[in-house]
Amino acid sequence: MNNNTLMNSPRKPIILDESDSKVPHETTNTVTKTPSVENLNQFTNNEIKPLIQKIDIMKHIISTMAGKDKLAKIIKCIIDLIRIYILSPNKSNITHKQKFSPFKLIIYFAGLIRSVLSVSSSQWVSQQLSIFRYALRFGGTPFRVIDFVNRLANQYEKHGLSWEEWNKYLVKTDTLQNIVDIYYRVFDELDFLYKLKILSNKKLYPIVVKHEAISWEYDILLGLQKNCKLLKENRQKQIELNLKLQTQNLLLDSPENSTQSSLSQEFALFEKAGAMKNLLNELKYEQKLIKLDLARLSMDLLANSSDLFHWDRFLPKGSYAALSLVSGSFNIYKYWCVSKKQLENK
Amino acid sequence: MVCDTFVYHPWITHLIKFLDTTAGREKLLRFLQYFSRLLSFSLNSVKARSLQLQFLLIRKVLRFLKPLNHIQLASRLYDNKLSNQDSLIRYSQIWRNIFLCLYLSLDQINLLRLLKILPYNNATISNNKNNKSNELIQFKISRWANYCWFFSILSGIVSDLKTIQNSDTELEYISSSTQNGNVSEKDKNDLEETKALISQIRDKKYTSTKKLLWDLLDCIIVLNNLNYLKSRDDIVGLSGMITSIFGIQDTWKTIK
Repeated sequence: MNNNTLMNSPRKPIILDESDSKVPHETTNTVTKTPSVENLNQFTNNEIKPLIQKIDIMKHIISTMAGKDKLAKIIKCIIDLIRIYILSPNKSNITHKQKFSPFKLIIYFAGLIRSVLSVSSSQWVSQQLSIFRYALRFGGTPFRVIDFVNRLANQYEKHGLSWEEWNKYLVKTDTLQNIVDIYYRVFDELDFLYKLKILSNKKLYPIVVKHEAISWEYDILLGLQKNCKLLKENRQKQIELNLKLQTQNLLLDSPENSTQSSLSQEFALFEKAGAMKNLLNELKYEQKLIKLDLARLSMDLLANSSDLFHWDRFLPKGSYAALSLVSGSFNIYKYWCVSKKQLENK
Repeated sequence: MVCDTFVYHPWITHLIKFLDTTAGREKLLRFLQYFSRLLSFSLNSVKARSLQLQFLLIRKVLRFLKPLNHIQLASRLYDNKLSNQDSLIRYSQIWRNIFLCLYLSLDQINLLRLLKILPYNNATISNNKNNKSNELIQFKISRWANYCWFFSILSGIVSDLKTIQNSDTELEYISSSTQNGNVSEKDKNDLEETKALISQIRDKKYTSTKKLLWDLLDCIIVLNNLNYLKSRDDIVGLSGMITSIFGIQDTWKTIK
């Protein structure tokens, strides 16, 4: 395990709802209210959405803890990459080989930041941002543990010690997610205590770091599995709804319908078709969020695996930071979309 | 079940919500920061001192772009000319927000210094002349920031004192009109309305008195930072802890 990388590693994004409880959870529940044919009536109103400016969305993101965490992750990754660039012996070759390209522009930008940031200060900033993110996550584990114990107790009350029932219960995705979440958070908080130098046992620290990475890997895998399932369900729903919509349109267009049905019936059909279109848009929005989540988790998986399985020896320097940066970018874009929707619905 | 009662207790739900807000977490970190200051002095602990710096850094990052809120508040108060608010209270609140905005902006520069993005110590600067001028600039920025904080507190104190005075006058007026027998002619509903008004004014007075105490305790911290007072670190830590508790109470109440 590469301790240096893990010490500053941009870890699991914060799962917080802030004051606005509609912000969906990062890894699993992509959209809080799943659109379905049953709750069709909720999507009938074609209300005019207010025009939300980009600055309002940015303000919303910065004012929430989840947004702050995501921005801190991106800044941290950029600083890490700049530090790697400063330390790289080939940096002069890169600048002279290419005459003009966006890549060269980035290099110039890095050079500019380099004049402000030294290697030691960039490391210090990176560490502080990492600690800041830990501090934002810190504090929820005791409640999660108690909640989970409570769930186990309920299960025991219902089914006693029946092996079959317990086997079914423990293999459920939700239960596994809870276990992995607690597993991750315990080690994450222990790591934070080490970073604050409240804990100082040197023998325990490598174990904490190792288990933090392992639990994070499990969490990513579970998140990927759950999102793949959600995506499949979403596609299925979209196909069904498209078919229904086509049938509805056929009914509306048919000459028999226009002669036989009354005006009110025709109006009802129109309204239903409109509601279906809205529902379809909701499903497409949900699909977009799931895809963004999948992309983010894939990048996180690559980054964490490179660290956990020591692939970083075979990869170019800065792969971890670059992958984390891409993951962070997907994450902030998803949060941007969610915030925009939230502000529109306010 | 005991576990059930604990997990789903409204207080626990409220605590989780409190910890999930930026303001809540910031206030809690402020409390821990001053608690560490108190501990570092009482126990002469290096660990507590480093913790204090760490909490300070996290808080400063959390407060990033907060000046915008204060400048927005100040402009809103300035534009709100039609309200019945006392002009002295209104202007003191406007100034309070302006000074807080300046304080937080300068504080962000301090954050850059603490993050070593701006020159921090002798090791970062090789030239001696530059070194001295940089230290002077840093010292000045820190001092200006503290002055801004101090003036914001002063504006707050003026506003609190005026609110207390106004509340007293209103209470006196109501009690004198009750004694004159004006209310006795009115029906029961009016009496209840008067009682509600009295309790409202008393609440306002209580809030302002608490705010006054809060500002005075904050004054101890800022005057120590400005070297006008030379109190021991435990006194500064204790006043910081008390004001943080006030802040926690306020944030706790605002969370639905």
